[in-house]
Amino acid sequence: MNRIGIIFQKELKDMLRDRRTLFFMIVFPIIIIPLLIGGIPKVMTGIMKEKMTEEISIAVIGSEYSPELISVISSVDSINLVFNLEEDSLEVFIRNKEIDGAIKIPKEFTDTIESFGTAELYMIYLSSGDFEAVKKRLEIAVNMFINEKRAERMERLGVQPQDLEPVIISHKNIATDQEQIGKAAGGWLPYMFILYCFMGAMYPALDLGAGEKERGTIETLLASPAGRMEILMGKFGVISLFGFLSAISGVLGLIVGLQFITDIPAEIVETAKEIIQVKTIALIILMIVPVSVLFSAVLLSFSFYAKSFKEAQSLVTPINFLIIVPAMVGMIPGIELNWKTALIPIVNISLISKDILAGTVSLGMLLEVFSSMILLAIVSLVFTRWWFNREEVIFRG
Amino acid sequence: MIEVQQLTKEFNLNRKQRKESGNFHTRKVIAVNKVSFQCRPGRIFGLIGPNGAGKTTILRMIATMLRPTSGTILIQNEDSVKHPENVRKNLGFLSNNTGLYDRLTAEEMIKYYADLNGMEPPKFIKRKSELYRLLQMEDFIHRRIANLSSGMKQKVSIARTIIHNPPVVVFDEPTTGLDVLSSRAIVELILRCRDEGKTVIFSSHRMTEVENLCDDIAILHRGKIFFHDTIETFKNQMKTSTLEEEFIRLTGGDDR
Repeated sequence: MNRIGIIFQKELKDMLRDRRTLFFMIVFPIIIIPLLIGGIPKVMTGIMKEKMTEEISIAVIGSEYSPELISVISSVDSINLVFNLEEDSLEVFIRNKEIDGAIKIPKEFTDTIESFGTAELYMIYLSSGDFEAVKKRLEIAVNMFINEKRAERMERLGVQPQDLEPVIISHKNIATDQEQIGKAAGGWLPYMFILYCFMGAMYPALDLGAGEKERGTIETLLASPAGRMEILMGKFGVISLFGFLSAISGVLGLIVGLQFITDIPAEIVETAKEIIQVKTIALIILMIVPVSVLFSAVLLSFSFYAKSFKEAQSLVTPINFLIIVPAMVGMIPGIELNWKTALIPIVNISLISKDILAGTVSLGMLLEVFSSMILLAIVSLVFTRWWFNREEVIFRG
Repeated sequence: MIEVQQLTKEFNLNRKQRKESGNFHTRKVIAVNKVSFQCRPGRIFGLIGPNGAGKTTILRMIATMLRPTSGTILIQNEDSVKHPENVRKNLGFLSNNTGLYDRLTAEEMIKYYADLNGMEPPKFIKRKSELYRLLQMEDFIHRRIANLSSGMKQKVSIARTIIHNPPVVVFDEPTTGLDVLSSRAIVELILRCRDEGKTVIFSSHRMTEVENLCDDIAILHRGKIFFHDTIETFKNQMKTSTLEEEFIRLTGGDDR
C-alpha cells in the first residue's frame, strides 16, 4: 500500500474510534432533523387544536342590545358566555385568567345594522405568544352572524350573491407541482447539507492538524519517510470523507423527516416522492463532493496554522457564520441561479440544489457550478499544500 | 554517518517577534551559524548547549523537517535537501515531547511507523517480537495507548523510533522532564543503539548525562560551535574542575 493509503487508513481508524464525535457527526443529524421538521410542527398543531376546542368563557357587555348575536355565539360549541360582569373590571378578569375574553355590544348596534349602516363591535382579549385562539374563535362566531346579516341585506335589496362579483379570475400556473415544491422548500436541503458538511469536517480537521501538534506527534510523522504531500493527502482524504458523510446524513435526516409530516396533502407527498429519485439524489451528492473538498482544505489550513486544538477552534468558529449566510441564500425567494450567481461559492450550490429538486436545472448551469466549485476546491488544496510546506506554519513559535 | 558542513539557518521574524527583539528593523535571526561536525557510526555524539543555542533547529534540519538556509547535511551519504525521503528512511527520531496516538493500541502505533517505513510483514514481525521481548512490552501491546502508564508509553515511543532498525538515530533532549526510571530506559536505548553500530546524535543540557554517554561532543552557543572533538580531549584541556564549570567558562556564562 502506498503511504497516502497508510496514513488515510490510520487517520480513519483513529477518527472512527472517537465514538462521541462519530455520533454527533453522522448519527445525530439523522435523529435531530426528523425531530425538528416532523416533531415540532406536530406538537404545534396539537397545541393549536387543543386551544381551538377547549372551553372558554367570554364576558358579554350589552347583551340586551343584540339577543340575535348572543344566540349565534352561544350556539358555538365550548364558548360559555358570562353576563353579569362590570365593564370596568373586564381587563383585570382577563389578565387573571378568570375569563378568556369579552365582547361589548353598543346600544345602537341593532339599529345601525337594520338601517344599512356599519355597526361596531368590541372584542377584548389577551394575546401574546399564543395562537390568538380566543380572537380567532370569537371572529368565527361573529362572522356567522355577519354572514346572516349580509344575506338578509341582499335579499332586502333584491341582489343575488353573484351580482356582486363583476369578475372571476381563473388561475393556471404552468409550474409543475415538482417545480413549486422544489423552489419553495428546496432551499432547506442545501442549507442542511452545507452546514453538516462543514461541521462534519471540522472536528477531524482540528484533530488531524492542530491536535497532532498538541500531542507532539507531528514531529515524528514529519521525520518518517512519508512526504509532506502524502501526509496532507492522507489526512485530507479522511476529513473530506467525514464532511461528505455528515452532509449525506443531513440529507438522509431531511428525507426521514418528511415521512413524519403526516398532515400534508397526499399530492404533495406524491410530488415529494417524485423528487426523491436516483437522478436527483445523484446530482445532489455530486454537488456535495466539491463542497467537502473545499471545506476540508480550508479547515485543514487553519488547523495546521494553530498551535493548539483550542486555538484552532477559535479560528474556525467564525468561518461557520461565513458559511451560514451563503447557505441560506437558497431559502430567500427571488434569487435565481444565473451565470453570475453560479460563480459565487456556496451560493451557487445552494441555488442549484433548489433547481435540481425542482427539476429545472440545465446542463450548462450544472457544468458551470460544478466546474467552478471543483476549480476552487483544487485551488484551495494547492494552497493548503503550499501552506503545509511552510516552516513558519508547521513550527509556528 | 552524519556529516554537517557549514550549516546555517535563518528564521524570518514576524511582527510580534520583531517588536520583542527591541529592534523593529531586524527581519531575520540566525539560529544556526556555519556549523560543521561529524557523527560516526558506533559512537554517541552529544550536541550540548543552553536553551536557545540552536540544538533543536540542527536536529530538525538533520531530520529534514526544516530546510537549511545554506550548508549541507549528508546522512549515510544522502543529501538531506536533495533526497529528504531517503534520509528519513535511515532515521529514527525521538524528542522529549514526542507524543503518541491515544486511540491506537501500542501495536497499531508501532505498525503505523513500520508501514510508513515500508517494512515487509515478515521483517516487521521478527523485529517487533525482538523489541517486545527486549523492552518487556508483551503484556500491553494490544491495549489502547490512552490506558497505558507513562512508563509503558515511553516503551512504545522507543519501539516506534527504532522499529525499522535505522542506522542513524536522532534524540532531541530525550530525557528532559522524565522521571528517573523513564530516563534510564532512554539511556539504555542510546547505549544499545551505539552497541549495534548505529550513528547516535543527541542533544542535552545535562552535563552528567553527557559525561556518561558521549564519545564525541559539540558545544553550541548562540548558533555557533565553540568546541568539537572527543569527550576525552575536552576533559584533558579543561581549565576548571567540572564539565559544567568548563561549559560556563567557555560560553562566557551568559545564557543569551
